Amino acid sequence: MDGCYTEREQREIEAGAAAYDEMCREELKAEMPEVFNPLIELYRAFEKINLEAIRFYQEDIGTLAKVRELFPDSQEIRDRVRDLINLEAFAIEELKKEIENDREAHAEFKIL
Amino acid sequence: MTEKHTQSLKSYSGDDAVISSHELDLRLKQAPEALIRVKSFIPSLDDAIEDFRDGELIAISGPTKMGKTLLAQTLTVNFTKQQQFPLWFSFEVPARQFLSQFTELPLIYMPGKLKAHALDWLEARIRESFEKYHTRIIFIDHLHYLIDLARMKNPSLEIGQVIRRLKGIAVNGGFIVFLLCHTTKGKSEGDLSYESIRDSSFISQESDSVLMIKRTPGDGETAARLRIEFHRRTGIFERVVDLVKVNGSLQERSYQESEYDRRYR
Repeated sequence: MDGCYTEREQREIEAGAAAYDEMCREELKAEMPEVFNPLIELYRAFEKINLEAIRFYQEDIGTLAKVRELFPDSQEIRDRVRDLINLEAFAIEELKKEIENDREAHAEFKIL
Repeated sequence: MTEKHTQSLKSYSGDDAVISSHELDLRLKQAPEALIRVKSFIPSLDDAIEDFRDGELIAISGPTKMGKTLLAQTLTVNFTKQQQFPLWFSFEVPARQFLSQFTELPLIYMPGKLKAHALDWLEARIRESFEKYHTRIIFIDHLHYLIDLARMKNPSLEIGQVIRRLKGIAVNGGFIVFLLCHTTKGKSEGDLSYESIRDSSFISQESDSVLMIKRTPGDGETAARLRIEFHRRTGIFERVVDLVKVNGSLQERSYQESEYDRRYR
């Protein structure tokens, strides 16, 4: 053993120092004002709009399901509701993909 | 009883007013037999139970790591194919892991955060999801997250109250509630029946059906056996269905692909 500490003491000191460093990093991060980046802001705005659209489609699917229940004997309504739900479910998936792609791009900008 | 009270009872015409069997029969014939009917896409199960219908409480049980959640996830995927998008309470499996277990993520609904041992909260979320998305199918994984065993004076009775309330939610709201629950026996202890469910008496008394699942490694690494212990509506009793895991979900074993296509597509 090279130092004046036992191995256990050394490990405890290092763990304590690492925890302190992490705490400081978090504090600095919280205190530092985020630099305004118009591109990042734009991506955030897109994400907000897309999330709102997803919520709209989700609720609309619910409304369509309700309509289907109100007319259990109408095959025409059932068929139309089925097609509309398929379209809206597809739209949700597309919007989700868009958000994920934007997040990737957003992450790249942050690195830059 | 005063004259006024007597008169008000005579003229009472609320939804719950007492009527004759004939009048009730006429009223029921006007209403649809079921608000929703969904198939499991497991042919022998569908034959036995004649689809899942609103107002039903279905218990899914089996030993730990024996396929309860997988069966529930298989049903979920197959319900979404019929455009019924369930509400999930995945207490046991963390959300990230739960969602990653689907080969293709289906459209389902889940609370952003979970609250254990809070039946009022659970009912509020069920109502919220219904109002927003018209969700009629609920999965709860699993029962013991709804109750606080540590605080219970009489667990069996209190579990009974929880089960009865869930059944009430299903009947009054027109929901199908799938409730996952553990068994008392370990996986090596032979055949399981609904009597093996923890706190079984109330669960099986209040449920419309009990489905027991268990892996059967002797039949292959991905094999499992589903036992329909009983189904109150159809009267089915102790029906066995052999399953196999294919592409992340369970299918009926030795069921021809062509026959499956003819039946469900």
